[in-house]
Amino acid sequence: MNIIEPHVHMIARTVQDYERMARMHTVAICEPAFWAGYDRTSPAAFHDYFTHISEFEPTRAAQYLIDHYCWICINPKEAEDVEFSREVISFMPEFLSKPNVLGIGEIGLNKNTRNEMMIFEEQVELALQMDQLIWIHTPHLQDKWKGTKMMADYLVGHGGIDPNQVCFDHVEEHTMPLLHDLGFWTAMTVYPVTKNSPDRVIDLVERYSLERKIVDASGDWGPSDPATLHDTLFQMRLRGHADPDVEQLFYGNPKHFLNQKGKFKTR
Amino acid sequence: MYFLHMRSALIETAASFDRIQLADDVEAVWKESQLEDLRQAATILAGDEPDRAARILHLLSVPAGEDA
Repeated sequence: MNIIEPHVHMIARTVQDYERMARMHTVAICEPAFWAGYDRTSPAAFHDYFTHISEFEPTRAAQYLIDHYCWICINPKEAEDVEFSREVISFMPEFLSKPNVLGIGEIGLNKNTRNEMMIFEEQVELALQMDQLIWIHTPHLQDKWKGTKMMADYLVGHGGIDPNQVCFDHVEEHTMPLLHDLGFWTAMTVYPVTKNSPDRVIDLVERYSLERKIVDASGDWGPSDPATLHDTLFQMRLRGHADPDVEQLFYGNPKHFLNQKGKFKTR
Repeated sequence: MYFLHMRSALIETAASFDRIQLADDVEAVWKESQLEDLRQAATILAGDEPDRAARILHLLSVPAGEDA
């Protein structure tokens, strides 16, 4: 069974993770733009970063027969600096036109501030202007519910957003009902401590169906592991779900969402 | 760091109770003594008395001297 990892920050991982994922039948991965663990000192650093994830990282992945795609944006944490963010946004179209850049993401909120929301809205507008998919980071821990509600309310109130072209990531039990009912795609992240466990992901699928559901491991520079995606697949099989349903969750669904603009041409 | 691990353990336990409650044969399972023990353990956890871990372990132990 082929697997798609829809969210992993390979810039922060070693080549051994590519090898492990390849051995676990991962055929394609997506790398959203994110905070590096420190604030960049200039917009040019973002240009270098976007070049890295859209040009160099695919060459590392290809050595393990993995197709590498990415998303481009100014991340929620660094979006607090509005003028800095606008400089970054000004050169994003150059990258969004590349064949392996899937859209704008992971945009969203961190501490739910006005500045973060302003830059979120400006990037949503850019996505609409350039007909791009949107991948949304929902805040961590105590800020998740409020931030998710703020973004969902904005997108629904906007009137021009197709929820089928938007995926909210890092969804848990308290944010799933709202987003599922509004028709957005939802991704559930498996983390060792601070997000979902494999059991909780499959619980959510059983309660809210396979429809518009994606799973990812969001491997990055913190405690995380790409193999938790495969742990979740195994958990789903242990519970007796049929292979076609397992394949839909870990391959068919992400492929459908990611290929809406015709760029995601994986096996 | 303690907070995040305690938060995680509580949410996992809550999700496990939800999972059991949604099971097909919930009526039979819900009344099992092991689950009732876990509910009592939750009461110990939420209380102010110390030695919570030891008291929960005693709650979940076969009393000494009881035949196997």
